[in-house]
Amino acid sequence: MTIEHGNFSVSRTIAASPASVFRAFADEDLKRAWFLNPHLSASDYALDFRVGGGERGRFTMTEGPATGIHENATTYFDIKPDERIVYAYSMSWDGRVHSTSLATVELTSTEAGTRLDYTEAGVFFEGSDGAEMRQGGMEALIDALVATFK
Amino acid sequence: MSLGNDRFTLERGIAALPAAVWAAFFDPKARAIWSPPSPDEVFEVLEHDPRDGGTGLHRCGPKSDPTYIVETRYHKLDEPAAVSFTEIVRKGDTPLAASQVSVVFAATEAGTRLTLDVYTTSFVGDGMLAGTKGGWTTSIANLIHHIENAS
Repeated sequence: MTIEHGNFSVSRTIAASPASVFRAFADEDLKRAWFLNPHLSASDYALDFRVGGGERGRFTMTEGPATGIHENATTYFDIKPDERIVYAYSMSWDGRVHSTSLATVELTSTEAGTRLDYTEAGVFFEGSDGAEMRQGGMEALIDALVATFK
Repeated sequence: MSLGNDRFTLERGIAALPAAVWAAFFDPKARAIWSPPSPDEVFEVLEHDPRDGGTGLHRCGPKSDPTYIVETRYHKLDEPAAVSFTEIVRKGDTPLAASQVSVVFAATEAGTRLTLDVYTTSFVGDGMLAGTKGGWTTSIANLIHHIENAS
């Protein structure tokens, strides 16, 4: 098994308070609005937002090179309301784990609202999307989050 | 306090087959021997389930007061070649650091090349980053000593 490592960060300013942005991670309905890709069929999505809790989702891609069932499995390690979220997650494709990551979300109050700093350290196995693709995916997700406040 | 991050890699040669290194790395009794960085510290395995999606829990620290709790989540194991897991260290209810860890056990003519990669996020400053690196460095040296003296 080959392993590649990759770290990346994404920062955005959001026109909302840290408490509002935090709720977008903590509340299942609010999170569904930006986290679930409208172009994918999502099933079995569940959020248990507490330390020791997790998030699970199955996403079906029906065309293209990544056709198949993609699943995420998240465990929350640390939650500091309105300030930070630390979690580990793995991604699977047709039942095979192809990456694992440690991720941190930091929220800082600014004059414009909130600065969101996302950092991810990933381990990517054979057949994974890799750090570059993952960063692109996370940027798209965070931009979707930002858009919910516009 | 804002979060601090650090990443380090250790590469070590071990005069034993990958299967033997893997066994010592995961055996709870062996780990209680090689994991403590000093004779004054202790490592107690409370839960041990090393499989994809499995978890682990152990307590460590000074023998007189082993107050550090480490929760491990195993993500992927490819015995005896590689493992990836994440873990968080707490003292009481206070999180101190979280780490993403991968270990590759590659077969060589001399035995095994172990490559440990650790990315750590500290919640309490740089001291925890240095402590994590120092702890792993000493523990892996102990692991090698344990294996090579057992074989």
